Amino acid sequence: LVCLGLVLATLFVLNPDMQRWSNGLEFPVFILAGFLFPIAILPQWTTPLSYILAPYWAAVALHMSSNSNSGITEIGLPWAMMALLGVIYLFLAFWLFRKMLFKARVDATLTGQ
Amino acid sequence: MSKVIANIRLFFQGAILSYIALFAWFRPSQYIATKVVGPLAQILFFTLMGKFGTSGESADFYIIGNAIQITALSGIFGVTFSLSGDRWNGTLPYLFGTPANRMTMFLGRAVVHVIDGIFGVLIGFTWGITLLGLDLSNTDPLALLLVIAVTTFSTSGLGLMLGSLSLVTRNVMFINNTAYFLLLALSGSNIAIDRLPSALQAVSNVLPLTRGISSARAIINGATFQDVRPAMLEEIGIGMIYIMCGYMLFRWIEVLAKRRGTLDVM
Repeated sequence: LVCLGLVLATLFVLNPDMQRWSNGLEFPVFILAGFLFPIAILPQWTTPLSYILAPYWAAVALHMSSNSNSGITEIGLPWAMMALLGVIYLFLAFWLFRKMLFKARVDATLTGQ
Repeated sequence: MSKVIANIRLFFQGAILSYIALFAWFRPSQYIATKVVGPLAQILFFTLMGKFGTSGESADFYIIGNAIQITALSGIFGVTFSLSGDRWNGTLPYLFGTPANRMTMFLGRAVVHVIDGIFGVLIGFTWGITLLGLDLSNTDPLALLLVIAVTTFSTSGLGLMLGSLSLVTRNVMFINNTAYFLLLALSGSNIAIDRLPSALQAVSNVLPLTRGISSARAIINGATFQDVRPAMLEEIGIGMIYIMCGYMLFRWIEVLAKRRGTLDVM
């Protein structure tokens, strides 16, 4: 989640209006992550969106760990996906950060709004 | 008579100027994010959760509740920004230095947000009708519009009171978010009031939105405005109480700040 936040943070700096969009992203992430209800009740086209969100895999791991039938090997997949997505988010945030710095230098907005 | 005309002019000019200078979502991208997409996400989330949690009971309960609750975006956040904006922009000393009627100045800040709040609720109902199949065939549209207007007015009263707090604290966004989620939980938008513990029901009864949401549900089920008139009168009364509390706080803060010389202190 922190790594996802780093991606969004660079977007906020690139475009200040993104901060307003972050408030609107809260509920879609809750919906797509499947914390409170299974994503099976959502339209099928939203499933890939859930898969690329780390919170979805966190919810899967949580539900599996509360289920006595799931062993450590079954929970391994969502853990691995969370770690993989975290690394992807980090690289994306790093790339966006470099873009943001370059744009700030070009626009001479390093100290401005 | 000239004083009355001057106050009316101050009321409307103040409303227009505070809208131009202090409206939080003036840019289209910000407005769409906060007042169009955000409400859609909220309605979808609570409707899906409610349907799943209640094994497919009517989604209308959650759609109507959340569509009306969306007025709190304008009523609380919008109004608070209009009041706190003067402090953050350094124009508070000029505001308190004028001999202008304080009640007129105070109330004028909320006018645009009442209109915007009504518009926001209509956007919420549009999402409910187009995406979630909300049926308004039994609804008296004028009665529903009146309920929305009264509810928005009373919520703006709460916003004025919270906005007055913004003149003395930097943590007003924390207070606003708490109030917003308190309304989500206790106004009947997602949880029926009679399912709450009696202590929380008492809190619900003094909050704005509670009677507005129940009245909107009744109107959509076929009731007339006469049926919900007592609740609407109570809603107006609650709004007036919040406005008066906010105004007294506003005046007290002004006197205190002038006495201590802390108008510009952040």
